Amino acid sequence: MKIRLIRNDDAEACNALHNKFSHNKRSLDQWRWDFDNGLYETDQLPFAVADDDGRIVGTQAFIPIRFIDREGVYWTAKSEETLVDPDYRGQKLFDRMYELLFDYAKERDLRYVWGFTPATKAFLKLGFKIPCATEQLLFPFHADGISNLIESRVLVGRTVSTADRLKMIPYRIGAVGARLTASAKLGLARGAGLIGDSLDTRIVETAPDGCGELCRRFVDLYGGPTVYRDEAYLNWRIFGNAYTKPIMRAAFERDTLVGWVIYSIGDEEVGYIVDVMAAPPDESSISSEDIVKRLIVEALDDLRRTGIVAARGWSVTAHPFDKLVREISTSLGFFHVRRGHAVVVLGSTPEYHDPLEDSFSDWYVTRIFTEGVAG
Amino acid sequence: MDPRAKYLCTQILRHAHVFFSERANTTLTNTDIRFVPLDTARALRRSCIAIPTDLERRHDYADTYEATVAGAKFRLCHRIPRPDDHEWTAFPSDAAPVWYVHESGTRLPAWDLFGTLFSLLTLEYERAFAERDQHGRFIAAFDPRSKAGLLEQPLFNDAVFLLIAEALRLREGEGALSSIADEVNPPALILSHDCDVLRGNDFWTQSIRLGRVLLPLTRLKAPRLDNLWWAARNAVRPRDFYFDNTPGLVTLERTFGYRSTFYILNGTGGRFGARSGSKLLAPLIGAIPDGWEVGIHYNYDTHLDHDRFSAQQAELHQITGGTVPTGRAHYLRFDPDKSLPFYRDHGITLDESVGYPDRIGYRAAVGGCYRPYDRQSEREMDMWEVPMITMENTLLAQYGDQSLTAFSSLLDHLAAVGGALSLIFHPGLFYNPEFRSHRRLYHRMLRIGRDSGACGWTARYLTTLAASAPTIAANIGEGERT
Repeated sequence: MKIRLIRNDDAEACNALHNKFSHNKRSLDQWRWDFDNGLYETDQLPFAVADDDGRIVGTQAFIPIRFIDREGVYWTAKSEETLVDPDYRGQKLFDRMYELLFDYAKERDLRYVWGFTPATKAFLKLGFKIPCATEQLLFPFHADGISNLIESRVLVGRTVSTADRLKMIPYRIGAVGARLTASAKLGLARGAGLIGDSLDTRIVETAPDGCGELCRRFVDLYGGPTVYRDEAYLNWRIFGNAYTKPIMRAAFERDTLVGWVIYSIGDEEVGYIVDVMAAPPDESSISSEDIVKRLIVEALDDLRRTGIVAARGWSVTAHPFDKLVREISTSLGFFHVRRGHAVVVLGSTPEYHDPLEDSFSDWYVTRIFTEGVAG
Repeated sequence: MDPRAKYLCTQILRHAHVFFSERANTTLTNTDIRFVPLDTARALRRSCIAIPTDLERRHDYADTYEATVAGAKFRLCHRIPRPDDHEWTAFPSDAAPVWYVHESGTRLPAWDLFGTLFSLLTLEYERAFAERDQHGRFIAAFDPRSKAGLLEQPLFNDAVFLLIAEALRLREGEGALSSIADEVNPPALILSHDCDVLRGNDFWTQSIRLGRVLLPLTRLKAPRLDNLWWAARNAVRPRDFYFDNTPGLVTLERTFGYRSTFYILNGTGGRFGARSGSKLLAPLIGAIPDGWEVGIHYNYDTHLDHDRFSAQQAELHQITGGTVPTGRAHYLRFDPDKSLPFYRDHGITLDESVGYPDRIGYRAAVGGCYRPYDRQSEREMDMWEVPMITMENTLLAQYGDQSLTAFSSLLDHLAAVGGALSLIFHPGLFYNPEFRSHRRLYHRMLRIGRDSGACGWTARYLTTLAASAPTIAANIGEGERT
């Protein structure tokens, strides 16, 4: 068994392994979008494989992502594509692939390795920290849709009996109540007024100028590491997305980009608030709160008209802007649901390792941190 | 060259240009293809494809057979007997032949490729039938292809695929067929929306709801009381689920990277007319962003009536502040002889009316676009037709629970042979709790499109691609070449 980094001719076999065990139909173009997208200039992709005499039986990858904080921009690595053929479990392939990638991260100064997973045990053994789990912000559009969604999860694979139907009654009542509450809150917030003429919001077809600049203003205002969403990043992650085409609604004040909301629609007829950013310049007369409120209301209006069941966003840390988005969202009718996947983080060197657990609450994390399959 | 053959060749080349690789197109244009009388075709002794043009025209479709080439299945019709001479062999089999191949290399189609395609593409076929429905339409119920199960077979697309496959086989040998899937470009979904009803509170829509409550009572059945709720709701909020669905359609399409055309109905009101009036048209058109297109939905009473058609156009041009050269007929009122020249005379350069209201399928045998045939000049017209293939109501009425499977199978076939599938979805049915069977249907159809690798284009975009094709290749002709 050889643990090595990927070669050019391995892409097809790696993708086939993923499709075999995840029952997906990911195309090679989609694989390339994820792992070989050219944003990180390198002669060797950070993609480890377990090679059993020419057969790929395990994969573990990093997607290099740039972060920004008050000290500047730097590279990090998102953990992705953790996969070991069940016939080869118990051989520590996961650990061995990760060892190779940790060396890669140290050599290339990829400061943090991070990801989201329901399977935390293996990551803890490798020294990863679990500072928190992702939490959800949920806006219900349709009571019946929500209860159908719950039923499809709760009663999956079962013949629905009368007892099951009775059990679902509280869910149905709850869904109706949630729907009515959300609508009422949104109506009241709208009635209280949204920021008007001085803010120009529009859907953009490519990343507008000033995205990187807005990120700099954002960390100056709110601090914390977050993904550096410059034009190149957004043109890859959003506008060149190989799975779905998220919508970016940007807000401008006198032609200066001051914020955006990015949203998409998933296959299960749920909308996703992928990202929210706002950072008006010092001289601006508009607050971040007003920008966020208007952008989220417009995103909800857009999503509601498509007939989807609900809209979902993330709330993950105590970062001041995460708190601001959460407060505005709940005032608009979103429900804060404390369920999600664990966040796993590890500094690639001791220098970045020690303070990490405490400082993770400074990170601003949205769904843009995900792989992007659902936006 | 026979002008009919020249016309058909040009449409084949346009189609191949959009839906096949450059290599396939080069092979097609470098292959010796001749349109000749059957006797001449049989007598040729050279490596070429010879397509007979003088077979007796048949309008029956009772005698069809299934053939498989390169893994794709085809239903063929109007079979030609194999030449008696033992030097001819059938490909792929005697039982289900697609080509007859002579030892010298001459290929003869085993079915009346030219006659069938020309007759269907030019709608000449429909002139053989006198029946018309109450709206004056030739509908699928009158079309013998319905009974033969051929309406959902894109015979033109199939023929172009088979022609390219045979050209590749002729030039590169048997092995060429194993990789022919690589030569077919992804299919396209041609999306459009007929904006018939923009308010749910117009007289006719409310009367129909009232009828749904009262009529069952006359048959001693339970009244459909939910209609009272929809009537009340739209009385208070008339735009809900109608006008307001337009931005929803755009948003959903945007998340797939797809675009569509909105056909605007204006002019005379009435049950079959523009029920919602014209007041909402300016805001409606304002809600359609760049990249999506606006077309005219020819009103019911403008059918072949120059004055009324001009009046409707003038009103729409005034609202849009420009000309609107794309259109589709409301109720698909369409005359196979007169409608296309009529539209062209009114400045329409792209029409999407050639489809059946009562069944999904390929009325003109093509999933894609073509320039219609002008019988007088015997040339192609200076306009495009993008036939209408699927409409949400027709699909549901025909297939019920199996609608998505049927849609998927149409698209799968086009993914294999190349082509475009057009789909109408009415805004008022897109997201409207009054019509539960339609709920989320459009989203699911778009997902099927995405999973098939389909592009989502407007009809105009498709024709722009086809317009850049070579019009006729030097090698395609008739008679002897030097």
